[in-house]
Amino acid sequence: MKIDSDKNKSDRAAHRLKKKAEIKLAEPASRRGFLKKLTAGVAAAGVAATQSGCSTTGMDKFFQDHYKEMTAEEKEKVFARISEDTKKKYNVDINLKDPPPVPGARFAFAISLSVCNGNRACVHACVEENNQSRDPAVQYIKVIELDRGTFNLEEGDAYYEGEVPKKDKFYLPMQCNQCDNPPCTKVCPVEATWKEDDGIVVIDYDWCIGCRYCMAACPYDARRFNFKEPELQRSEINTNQSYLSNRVRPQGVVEKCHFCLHRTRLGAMPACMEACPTGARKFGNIADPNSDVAQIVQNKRVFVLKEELGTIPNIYYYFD
Amino acid sequence: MKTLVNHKSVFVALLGSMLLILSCHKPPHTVAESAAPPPPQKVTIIEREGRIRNFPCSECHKKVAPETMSKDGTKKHTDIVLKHFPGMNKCQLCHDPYNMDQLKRITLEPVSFNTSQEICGQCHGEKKRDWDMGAHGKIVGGWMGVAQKISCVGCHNPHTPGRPKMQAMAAPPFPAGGIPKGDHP
Repeated sequence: MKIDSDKNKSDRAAHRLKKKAEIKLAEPASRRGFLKKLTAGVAAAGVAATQSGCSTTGMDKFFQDHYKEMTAEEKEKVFARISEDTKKKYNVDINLKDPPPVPGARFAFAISLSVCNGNRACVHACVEENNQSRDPAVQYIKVIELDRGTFNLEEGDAYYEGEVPKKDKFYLPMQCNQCDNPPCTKVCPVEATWKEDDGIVVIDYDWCIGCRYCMAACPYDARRFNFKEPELQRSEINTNQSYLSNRVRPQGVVEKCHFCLHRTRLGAMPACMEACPTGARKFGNIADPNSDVAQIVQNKRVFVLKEELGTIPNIYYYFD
Repeated sequence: MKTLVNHKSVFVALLGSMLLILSCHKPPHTVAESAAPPPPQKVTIIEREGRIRNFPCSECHKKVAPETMSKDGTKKHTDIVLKHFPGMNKCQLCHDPYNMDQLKRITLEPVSFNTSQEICGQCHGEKKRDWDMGAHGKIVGGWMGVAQKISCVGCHNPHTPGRPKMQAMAAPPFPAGGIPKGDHP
């Protein structure tokens, strides 16, 4: 009997709160009323949540754990939810995976600046592979045109057009260097970005709060922010997706190059490297001394960008 | 005399906070050393013989005596433009007139079309060394397991080896309010 009466009481309280909230929301806006309205609104939302048993996807997303703290079942649930959301929004069935790092592998790029002719095939292959927003355009790779004999990145031009390579110019593609001592992961206040065992710095887009500290910390301008909801056509969506890499990003999160981990962790090459028509890009496992990247680092005169900062980048450049 | 702060207590508090920081600060991820390394990349060179149009060259050339072949071969092969180095017009520098199905070194040793990089490496030794190590050229396939290497002639036409210019793909949108290169005072 007591339980019943308690339940009635709580029901009545909930009803009262709801009514109050409705009355407050119906009132014309006033400065004093704003805070009251806010509290009433929050209370009403809380009541609604408790009554519906937190079953809405929004609530699920809100209470979702950090990627590293989720169990396998929780991950399954989250992946199902993301697939469902994408289906609802774009009407495509995606194949959302989460490949683990390959044990013993360390990924690295080597880029021949003598061969790169700045045709930007990599930039556009990357955009298509990684479901990046077309408008506003989010691009991970930036190709900088520099005068031969100089190496001042500030004097480079990233907006060149026309026939390439131009006379007395060379081209320097820049993207995330997947540093071994990454400044970006250290400044993240919520640990939404971290370095994985295979050397890839990843972002949990559902955990990112969009503070953009990491963008300020990155010395290579590798990170991009989704100021708007990414704009994509249904036909433009790549259905081969992964949680930490190329699933369609929500608004207000930071993203960056992840060495196409949904491909590379399965043994394939990244999209930019496959698209490169000149063969300037080399990708491989630098932990294997016979791989081409390891051979290049051993035998060629390679350099990294901003070595003096001690970030230990994993993209090596060389001229030959 | 009474001091405002007890030095001992400050020390203890400092030590405590340091311990707290150390305990909260997780060590960075490390690579598992014990794990077996991933299978290495097995690189094969893409074969050339199946890709040459009208390949067994001897099909036609058996009707042509080596002695009667023109020194300037582009008279019959009108699609071939010889633009390798100034004054280069001698087919028989690389092609074997007595067996058109293979190439030959300057030292007259035969070389198969499938290993034509040996011919190129006679002059371009540095590039050949880079190509051998993987610093030049393109590899298709994966970084783990089977991959294929494109040989010199996969990208460079041996008769006209210079690569043509390309049209750059669309530039990123210029930032609103930005000043184009060179327009800055």
